[in-house]
Amino acid sequence: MSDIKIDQPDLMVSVRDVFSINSMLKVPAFSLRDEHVPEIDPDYVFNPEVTLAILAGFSNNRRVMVQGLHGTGKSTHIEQIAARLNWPCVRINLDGHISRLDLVGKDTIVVRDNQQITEFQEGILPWALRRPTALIFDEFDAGRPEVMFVIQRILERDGKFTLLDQNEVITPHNQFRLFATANTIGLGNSTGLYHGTQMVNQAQMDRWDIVTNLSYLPCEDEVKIIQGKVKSQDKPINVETIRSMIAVADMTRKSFAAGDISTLMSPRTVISWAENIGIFDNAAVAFKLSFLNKCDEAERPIIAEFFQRCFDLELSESWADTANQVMADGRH
Amino acid sequence: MADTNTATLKVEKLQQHLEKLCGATIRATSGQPSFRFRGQRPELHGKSAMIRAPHLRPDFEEDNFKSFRGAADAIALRILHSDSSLHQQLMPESNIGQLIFELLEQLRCESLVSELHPGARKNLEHRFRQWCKQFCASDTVDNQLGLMIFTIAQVVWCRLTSLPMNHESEDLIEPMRMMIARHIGGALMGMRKNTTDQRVFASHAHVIVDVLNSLLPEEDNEKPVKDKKANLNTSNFSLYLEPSAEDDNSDITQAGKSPQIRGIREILEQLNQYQIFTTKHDQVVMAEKLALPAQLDKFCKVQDQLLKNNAVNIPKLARDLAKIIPGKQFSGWNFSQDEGYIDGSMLTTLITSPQYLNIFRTQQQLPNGNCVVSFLMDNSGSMKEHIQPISNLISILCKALEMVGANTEILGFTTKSWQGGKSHKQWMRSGKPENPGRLCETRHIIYKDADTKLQRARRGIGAMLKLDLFKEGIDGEALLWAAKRLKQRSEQRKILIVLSDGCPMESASNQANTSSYLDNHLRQAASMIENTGEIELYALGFGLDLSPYYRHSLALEIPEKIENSIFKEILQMLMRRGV
Repeated sequence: MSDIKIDQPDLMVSVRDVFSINSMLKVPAFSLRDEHVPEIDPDYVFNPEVTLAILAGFSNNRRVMVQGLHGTGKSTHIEQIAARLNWPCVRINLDGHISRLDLVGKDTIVVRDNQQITEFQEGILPWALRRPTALIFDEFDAGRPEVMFVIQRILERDGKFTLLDQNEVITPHNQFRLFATANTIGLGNSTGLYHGTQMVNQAQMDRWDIVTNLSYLPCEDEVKIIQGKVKSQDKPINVETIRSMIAVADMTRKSFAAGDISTLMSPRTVISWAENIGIFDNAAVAFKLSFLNKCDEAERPIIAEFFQRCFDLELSESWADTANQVMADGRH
Repeated sequence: MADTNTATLKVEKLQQHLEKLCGATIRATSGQPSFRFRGQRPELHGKSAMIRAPHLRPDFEEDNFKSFRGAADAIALRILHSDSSLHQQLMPESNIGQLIFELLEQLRCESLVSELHPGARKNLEHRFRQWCKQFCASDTVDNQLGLMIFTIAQVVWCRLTSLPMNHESEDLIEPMRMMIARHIGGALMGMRKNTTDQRVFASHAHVIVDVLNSLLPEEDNEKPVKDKKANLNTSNFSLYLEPSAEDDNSDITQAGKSPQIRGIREILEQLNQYQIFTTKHDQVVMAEKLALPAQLDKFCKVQDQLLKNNAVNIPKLARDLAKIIPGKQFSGWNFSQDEGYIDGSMLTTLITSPQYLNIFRTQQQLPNGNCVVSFLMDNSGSMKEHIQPISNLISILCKALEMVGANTEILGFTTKSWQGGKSHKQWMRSGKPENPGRLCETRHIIYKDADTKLQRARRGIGAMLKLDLFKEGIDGEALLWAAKRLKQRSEQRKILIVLSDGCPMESASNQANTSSYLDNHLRQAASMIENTGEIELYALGFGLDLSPYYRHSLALEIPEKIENSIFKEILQMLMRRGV
């Protein structure tokens, strides 16, 4: 990994100007863009509460965890804030296979002067600790609890990190920041939606200074996001269609909450639906391809009902034809 | 005979499917997860939703799917936009007035359909037009009252939705419209302007009701609507109001109103014959509310002491239960083990540090929580003396079940008073009508619900020791209540365990009804649950054999102290499932 050249933030930027949030707050930022700084997405819509929580993490060195349902843009939210502060940012996707060695570093075999030798190669954790980076643990609850104890000490603000394999103690860079995103709140898979998530050790959960929740956005914000995403398409989608799309998504979310269906439309699904409309030029076909085919077959008629309400169109999965047929039969 | 049966079955299936689709849509639009259809009637929070407008009852024989959709959308909008208690409060007294008021409120809600739901708007329009068509075709419009109701419905609908009137009815209602236009013009205008304000809208609706009352001949107004049914109800078209909640005292799922659907299952029919004199004084209550905080704290302490002093190996019990309750679930790998499968990514370690041998991985198993167990405890007076060991038994089982990932629920049932209490007095006052049905005030207690973890429910469980709650018991109704709660759970396996030491006993009901009235009901309720198959039903009888009532039961000695052996028997009973 290439090194980071910048060291300390040299600017204070106004939250009101950069994030369009009504607040007097000023936060530190870097003036130079390193290659590890994420790209700015000019259309990104910031959620005020979550933004302030993440900014507190950046400016006051707090450990922030963002929790929320899938597809609400948790990781992107952190990235986009880092992008606007020019803060170098590294994302790690946790999974059940990540072991301590992957994070801390391991002995590897290298060839040097035509000789095979073993050499310790630092993992991502010591690397990031020494530099002014924002380290993001994605899907924090997918990491295995016993492995996650590796970060127990650096979750404390001034916690040093001991590299046992090298007999070395690392003092974190004073601009090192740690974030995490998770679908569950560390209590395991209680909804049945998030297969493969783990229970998080509560001692660890306790060390996150700020836990913020990113749920689904208000309708108008979602409209803005979708508009931003599809404006570059050849065939723009009109606002009414986008509103109807979000109305369908909203019905699936409520229906999921009521336990009628087991899949729901995340903002990400709505975005891919909008993109697919650009490709197929037909809202119904695009809907089928981007969401309906992901659903259990038994639940498709219910979702077809939602679609009929919002678009006044029948999907082929709809029960309308069958019902009228059966009803006609019943009368004989 | 067989043909009729298959036809009935088909209609029943169709109804189920329609209700599933419509119900899901209503829940999704209104955001009310507790909405249900019960015997074709909309129900909210387990009570009748009091949505009674006449055009919301499409008929299987006459209407198409779109009408059902329209009715569903109408119900959803009503839930969303109407305050039910305010509506009941403003409800006029006369029967015709109620009908009109109900209809107008419904039309108000329908006019508020979101512009984001153009499909719903179409469905609503279709349903209303269809209803009008049927109204026109029936001979209800031949009398003055019917025509007047029809005219008002049409005029208000047109005004609120700005949609054109049905062509065929335009001529029919023209004379009537001319007649009432000058009386109701102002009210119509006010209604249109105030669709979002239920109270103001209702005041205008009252004007219309008053106009109607003043125009009608005296005797028409006196007749109750239910009598009206006779002359308004021809060729499947009816205008009558559904009975309101107070009249509706059947607590058991009713088969639909259509004669074809009624009486499919014999048991269901028997169950339907069970009557309740009044449900007015019945109570479902969280156990914590029944005792003072200080008392609860004391009970908690006793419970903890009991739990500490028992000689039961709970972890072992949990392991045994794990064999019966759905199996474990693969949930990832344990790495760095010294035996198991070889972990490929560790092979280099074998070369770099040959002494380090923890290069294997093993499968990690977590208990699968796809199971809910509900304990239904008889709180009749005779259970009083054994409550300590029995409550201890329940909490041990709950603890073990929670360890294997199952959810548990603890419920109890008793009556609020001896000898029927207020219900009995009400029956006496109303002149002791014959065969009143169940006569007492039931009390259903929730000690711990399935969503609360054991640790959080300690106070509720402590309340099991409050002895003065123990009175009489109506087992059958309690069983249906517990089963209903279980049915709403999402877990795959549902187990209901009844703990009792006697048969249903309630002196007031027993004296006023035929003998073994309550016994029969318990038997029917149990066999219905067993035959439906969705819930596994078990019974633990303390000092009594409950097998006359339940298919799977176990007679236990009244325990003095809870020991391992008692669980062995319980586990064996649970294992025999499906036999």
